[in-house]
Amino acid sequence: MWMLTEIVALNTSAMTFYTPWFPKGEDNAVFTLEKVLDTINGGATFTVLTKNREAEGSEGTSAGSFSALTAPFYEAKCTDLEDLVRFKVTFTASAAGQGVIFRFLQPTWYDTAV
Amino acid sequence: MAISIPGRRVSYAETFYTDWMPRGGDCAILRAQALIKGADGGATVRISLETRTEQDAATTSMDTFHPSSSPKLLELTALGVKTAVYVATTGSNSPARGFQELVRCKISVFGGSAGDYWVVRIFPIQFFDNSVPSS
Repeated sequence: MWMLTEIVALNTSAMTFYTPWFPKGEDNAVFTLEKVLDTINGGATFTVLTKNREAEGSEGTSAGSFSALTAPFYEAKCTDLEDLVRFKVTFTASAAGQGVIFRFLQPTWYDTAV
Repeated sequence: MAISIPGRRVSYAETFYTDWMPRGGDCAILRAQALIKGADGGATVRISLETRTEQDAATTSMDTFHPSSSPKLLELTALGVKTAVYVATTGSNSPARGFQELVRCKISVFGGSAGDYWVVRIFPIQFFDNSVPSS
């Protein structure tokens, strides 16, 4: 079950939010984002982060960013993932009340074949 | 929902189908990867979805939401992973957008010349349901 997530800006500060870390399914993945609504000035930015289990810190390293398929669908093609993966959402609203509604769909996990 | 094509060579003028499988949702993401390209003649690989009900053998070709322009299917023209998205709608579309009970893949080598071949794999289809109405 993938319910929509709504994030609303309460002020005009730069905001960063993370999903929980989750284990990678395979070494490579294509992640799909469905961004139903984005009223934030300049839009929200979605990034894929990865790190090993023993690594400290919240961000690890960037594994990729999302590019548009046909709106509202976006995908991030990521290779050589480490043990854990999470998504990062950043935005700076120009007014309180702007927001983004989105969900991540089931990823396609795969290992290198050739 | 896995499709059993872990990596298969497809050759010039070849067309084949997977088995029928039950749908896992109204919408789907289809992804395939071109692993090896031996298509100097210019052949591409076209992968599309077909749907039908359990009791009726009539098959309906499906229309992608992405890509949104013709050909509305997944076409491999270079090495790498490519994506097609199928979204159910509130209206009727022809060909269909939105699944009936059963789904299968159709794989065709399009164009090119004798000797052209590709090695491709199709990843398990990711089914999902609409989160908002789609016309």
